[in-house]
Amino acid sequence: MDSAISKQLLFDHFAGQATAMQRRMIDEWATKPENEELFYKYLEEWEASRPQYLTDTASAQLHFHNSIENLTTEEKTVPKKSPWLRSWFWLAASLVLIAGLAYLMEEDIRYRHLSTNPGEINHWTLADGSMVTLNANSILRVPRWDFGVDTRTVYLQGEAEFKVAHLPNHQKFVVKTGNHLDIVVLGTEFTVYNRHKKTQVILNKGSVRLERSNGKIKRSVVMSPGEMATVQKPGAVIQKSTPRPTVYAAWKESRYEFDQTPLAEVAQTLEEQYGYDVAISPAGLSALTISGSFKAKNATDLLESIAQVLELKYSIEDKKMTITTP
Amino acid sequence: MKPKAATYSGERPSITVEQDALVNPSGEKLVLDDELFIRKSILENPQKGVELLFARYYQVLCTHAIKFVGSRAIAEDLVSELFLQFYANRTFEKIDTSYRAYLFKTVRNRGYNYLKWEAGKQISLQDDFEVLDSEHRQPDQITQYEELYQDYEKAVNSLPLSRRNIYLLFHTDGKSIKEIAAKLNISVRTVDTQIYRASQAIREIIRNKWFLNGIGFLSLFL
Repeated sequence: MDSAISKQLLFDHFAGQATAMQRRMIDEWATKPENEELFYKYLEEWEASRPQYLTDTASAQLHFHNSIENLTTEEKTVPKKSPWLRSWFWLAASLVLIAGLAYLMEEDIRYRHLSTNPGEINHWTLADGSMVTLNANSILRVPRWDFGVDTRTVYLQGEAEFKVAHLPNHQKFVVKTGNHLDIVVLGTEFTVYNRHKKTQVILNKGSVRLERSNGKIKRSVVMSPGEMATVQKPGAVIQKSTPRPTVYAAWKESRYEFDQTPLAEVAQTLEEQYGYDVAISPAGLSALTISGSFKAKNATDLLESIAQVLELKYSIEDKKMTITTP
Repeated sequence: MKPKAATYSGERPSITVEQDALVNPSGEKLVLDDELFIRKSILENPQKGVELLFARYYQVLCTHAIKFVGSRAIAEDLVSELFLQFYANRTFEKIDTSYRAYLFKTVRNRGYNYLKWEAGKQISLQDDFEVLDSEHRQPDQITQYEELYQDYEKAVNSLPLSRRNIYLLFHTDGKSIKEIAAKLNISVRTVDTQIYRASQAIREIIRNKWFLNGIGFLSLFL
């Protein structure tokens, strides 16, 4: 039997119709490099004749072109042609350095701080049309006048939900968390929690890339909708799917969703969002868990509901809350 | 020039034959004529050349990638990222196969890694990346990739009809939960639950067959 592997057999295999024995034959045949080449040639032919969907190749190409250009401009900053050019380079470099220093000092001028007080939730529309909702006790730093040409970069402390506007030039939107994690976005909806060295990203729609830097090593991962990623220092990124991504943005509607949440964590929420000092006594109560959805306009509302459910007593004095047994 | 079709003897090739196959006999011969033009362009101007390569293979590679990852957005990201690295790391200088073989092989590897990661959600990404970097932790038989994505497809098809419909709208078409709820006139909560259950069911099937410690060739890779 000469050449048992025909194009027809490969096509049958791509269609899932080859027998186990035929698949073994293909495997053995493809260990030869020239056969492997042929395998991929037919695979291309097969895929080209049966597209799963039509890509927008033109805009992908444009986007790809821009990404390459970005890479290239980064490389071009080091001209190596002639000593004469090099002196210009040093002059330029010192100018950049001076500009850089000025830039650092003028940070407050260049950036606008959007912030919320304890208990306050607020919305803004950014210069590019992206919308942001800040939860209580959060700060978002955005460029005062305009986003640059390369990327739209913002810095977050606290918790926020973003609805990023997709721009025609595919300009990236980057959320820096200062926790060795950047969130790179093209146009999507997601929630970021960035407090106490813990960063959590919950994706509702679209796709985002998390870029994590650890010293010199940069790693990135793509999240898909419905997923939640957590970075806690020290430790690795944990990525998992969440059954209900909307839960994590419940605070937007002054709604609190708890699912077997320990009282200690609820207390933390009260501290973070309303700036209270919460004491639980005896400490054993912290382990009590609470589940359910609560609507609360303020800290007292929330505390009232929780105390009712758990049958506990509470008192508030100034900015100090105490939760005790009845 | 056409590569000579090899005969199948019906016997397992000996180890020596396999090693011969790994050592590339004569680079030039493996490059099929249809890439000649792009090859010349890349030599002359890498950026232009790689952009041509992108235009040539983007659609087919996305079509192939989506079979593993299920989502357009992820398939497209995966493919674009691959081309960007191909250019930035000057991979085109290092490979001794055709571009096509390299690109398809890499897309399949990454598709495999994605499904593996999907199946083992909640494992540390740090570890996962290590796996991603090491090429040898991959199926060693070429047809296993087809088997894998066909299993994924079967798993999707085994879902109850309405659940499958919601899963595909969300995952493949990239519709938001709110959009799906509005379109099908059901509650957001229902859509959430359906997507969650669908993903769980698919994950279970793929994990059991491909990524569970114990029986099968994959125990070698874990």
